[in-house]
Amino acid sequence: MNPLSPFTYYRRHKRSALLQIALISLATVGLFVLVAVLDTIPLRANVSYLTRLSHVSPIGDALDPTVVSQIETHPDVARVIPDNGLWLSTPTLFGTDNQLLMGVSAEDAEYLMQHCGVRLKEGRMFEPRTNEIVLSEEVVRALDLELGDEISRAVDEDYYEAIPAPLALVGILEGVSEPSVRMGFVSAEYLNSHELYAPRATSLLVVAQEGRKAAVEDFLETTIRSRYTEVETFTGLVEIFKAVRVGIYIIFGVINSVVALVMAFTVGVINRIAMTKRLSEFGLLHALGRQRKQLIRRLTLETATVAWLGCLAGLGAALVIMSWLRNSFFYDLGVELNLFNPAPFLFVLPIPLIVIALTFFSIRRIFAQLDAVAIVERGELSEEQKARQAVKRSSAKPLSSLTFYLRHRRRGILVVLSMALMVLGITFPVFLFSAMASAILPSIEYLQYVSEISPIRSELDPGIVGQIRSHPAVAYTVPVIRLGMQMILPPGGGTDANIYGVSEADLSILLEWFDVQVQEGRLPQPRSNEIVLSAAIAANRDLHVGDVIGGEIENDSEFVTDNLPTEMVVVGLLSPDHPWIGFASYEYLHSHELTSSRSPRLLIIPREGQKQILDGWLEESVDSTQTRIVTYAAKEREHREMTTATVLTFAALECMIAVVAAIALATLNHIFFSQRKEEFGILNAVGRSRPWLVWRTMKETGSVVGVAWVVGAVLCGIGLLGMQNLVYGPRGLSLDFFSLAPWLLTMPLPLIVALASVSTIAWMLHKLDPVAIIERR
Amino acid sequence: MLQGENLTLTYQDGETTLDAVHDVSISVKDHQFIGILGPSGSGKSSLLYLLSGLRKATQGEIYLDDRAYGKMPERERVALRRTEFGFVFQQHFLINYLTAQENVMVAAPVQDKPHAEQAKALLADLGMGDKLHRFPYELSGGERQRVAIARAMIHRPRVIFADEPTGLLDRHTGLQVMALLRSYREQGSLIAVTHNPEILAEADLIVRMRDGQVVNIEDRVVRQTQEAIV
Repeated sequence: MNPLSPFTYYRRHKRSALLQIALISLATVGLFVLVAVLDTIPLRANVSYLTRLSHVSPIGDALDPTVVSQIETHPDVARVIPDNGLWLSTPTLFGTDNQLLMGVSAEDAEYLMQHCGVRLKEGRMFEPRTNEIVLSEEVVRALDLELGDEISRAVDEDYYEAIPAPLALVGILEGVSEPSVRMGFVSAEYLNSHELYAPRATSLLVVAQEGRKAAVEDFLETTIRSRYTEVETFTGLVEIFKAVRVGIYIIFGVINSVVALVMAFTVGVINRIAMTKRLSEFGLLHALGRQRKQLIRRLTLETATVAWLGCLAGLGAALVIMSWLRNSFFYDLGVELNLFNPAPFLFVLPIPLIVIALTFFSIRRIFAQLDAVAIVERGELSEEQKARQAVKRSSAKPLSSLTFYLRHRRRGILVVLSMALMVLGITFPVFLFSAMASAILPSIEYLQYVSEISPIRSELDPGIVGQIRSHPAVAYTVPVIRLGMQMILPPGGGTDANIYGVSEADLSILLEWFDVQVQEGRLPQPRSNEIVLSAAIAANRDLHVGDVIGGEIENDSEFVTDNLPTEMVVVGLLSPDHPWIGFASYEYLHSHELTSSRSPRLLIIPREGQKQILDGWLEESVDSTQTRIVTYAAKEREHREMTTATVLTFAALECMIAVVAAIALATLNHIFFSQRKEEFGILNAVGRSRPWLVWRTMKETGSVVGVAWVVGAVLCGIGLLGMQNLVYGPRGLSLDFFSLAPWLLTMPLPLIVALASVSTIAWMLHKLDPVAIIERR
Repeated sequence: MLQGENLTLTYQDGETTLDAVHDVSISVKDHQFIGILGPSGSGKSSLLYLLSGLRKATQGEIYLDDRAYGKMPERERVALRRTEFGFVFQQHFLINYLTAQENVMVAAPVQDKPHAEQAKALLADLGMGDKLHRFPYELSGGERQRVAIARAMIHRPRVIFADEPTGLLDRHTGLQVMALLRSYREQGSLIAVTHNPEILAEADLIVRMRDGQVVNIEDRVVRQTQEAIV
């Protein structure tokens, strides 16, 4: 047996080895689970059918017959199936996602199921011309449905908004191939014949010949996609995945580095302490002729062994946790979680590498001054060590935290740095997200001035319009045609800004009501393709007066999709920046072939001080299966719920990391305490009570954690300020620095760390026996 | 002033019990210098721990004036150590990141400037005036013990307990340290535990111990008085 092998030391010092392994594996588990869970965000299982077929839908009323014929006659296309289906929503980790309920004939449904590797698991297939539906088991689970259940807007507006009349679940589907495909079917004949569903636009489900899917997707993307035709392909989906993932990975790259660094620091400190205890061993080995290099290599190998063992243990534990999550939480959500997704593995890999690298450099630096004689004679690394710190004055408060940390600067800096890094790394994404969430509030700000009513299908009921116009709280109603632009929301997202087609007379009323003026350029001419935008929208999209947008003009960002079927010329900019809004000519949009089919909506201007009464009445009396009411309160609630859900998820993840951090720092404290045991013992012997010692430790920990929190928070603030000035400001967005939620989210970390440290020390002090220390037992 | 009655301290070692101190009674008067003498394992240090409240007696009772240790909660016994007693151990037990002056301040009732000045004066009296701001590792063994003595004196305790205070020092330094400790008799009592009779030359009372029991008490004051009369 080789007594100097990297295993011998830790085999004889199991506690130290286990401690380091536990720390590294905890960090590995925390980070792996974090990345693996959040990596499911862009995993849009609801559109998994795109792996087997493509979807072509009209942007206007109907698909151009030439386009249909082009697709049908393409040699690589095996079959084209008309679909007049609708969308329902399913819950996801954050918010909801849309699931297509394909409106097809029973025969086509059978074909599609066979093609996509799906079969009936329970119940039966839908009968033609009935309100029966079949859904994949994942969707059924996510929506908590059972056979025989009916779904409709009346049951849950959030999930079944597009279902005005009840649909009954009669069958549950299951995927038999990998990856499993989610589907849902409803009778096309039923939808076409029901007054609340018909008339319906028909899309196409395009099935490629065996092995020709890529060619078909390429054909659809390059030849078929146009201002009139929307194309959804697997290639397009992958592009979106990539973009969203980049955003997520940037954020988690930061957290990853922080966790890895903190772990490296902690393990480094443990190593350093162990090394101090082993000085005589190194001195002796050096005196006996071992080279510095050999000693460094041996110590690095020891650390590497522990680091990799910790990493492997962590990976094992993480896989167990993820497997449990997959079978419980994600199973209920209907999300297929791939346990062997390489991303989390790549994210945890740097932890052992950084630990080993940092240890190596630290050891090399320490051993640069190795002096065998000094070690053997005095237990010190070198002669130079003696000439370390010196003070000119003694402190009048020797037992204060300040004195302690002034005399232990390195330790203080280490703890402050670790904590500050953690506060920064963990809470910065929350800060950023929360600030981003606030930044999109101006998109609904216009609803503070007006309410909006739109038909769910076809036209607004003239009776309802009459009722609204005659209501005493209504000052004016403005018929509008809605277009949509998206604001770019860095690092990878977009949010809606509303563009309305209004008549010239109504435009001046709205401008006055919104209290906005033309800052540059002019207002759009009636019957022209001109548009005027808020300055914020223009800044966000880098648009200037004279620029042309919409139609087939490429967007400047892959994260946003405008709803501007025709080319529009920017002729003016509005100030102030808020609300985000834009106007075009009603007459132009009403007469243009690509927008004429859009049902006009109504913007309802309330009488002075009557907005709340009006919104209450609209929501109570007008909101129905045929009419959708959009009010500020409802939108703001929706926004708040989404933000809260996300912030809570972040909080849960943060708590998980905080626990890891707390354990790491509590471990450090445990080690520091062991080093200071004599000090505590003697203080107790000379009459300092245990509660006083705990209080002193609390003050020490509290002060250092407090300083770390302030440093972390200031760095967060600087980071946000930087983001505001460099990224968001130029995009016309304002980050909200004073939102309380992220500040509250910074609290668990220092609190858990302080609590863990103090409890560790209190527990150790509880067992403190001064006599044992005096007698050196 | 300090009275121990029928003190027994039993340690449990697995299934066997060991009386470190067995049925010892002792009385300490104000300004008295008591030496406890005995070989290693005789129970002298254990007796010192009992008298100073660092250990609780298994049997018997200790009184400081009228206050019985046995009835005191730990909090009060700790407070007693802080206000009434001072300690000097065989090892200096100085806190290594505090300077000499700061180490003395550790036992001061309040940590403020007046007490810092007091610590300074005390160290100067002990010949350490030029080494106030040195760390323990910058001092010699004798100097460290002087700092420990100053720490034991700063709050003017009624009793200083010294456990082998010269054990790790050379003879000359040891005698110097004992002289410093003896000088405290003007302010309070001194109980010193040692196996070296030389340093107890000026003790008023010498208690000899063996196997946890007192084998002999030599009251030197009475003897000296008797000798003087004779």
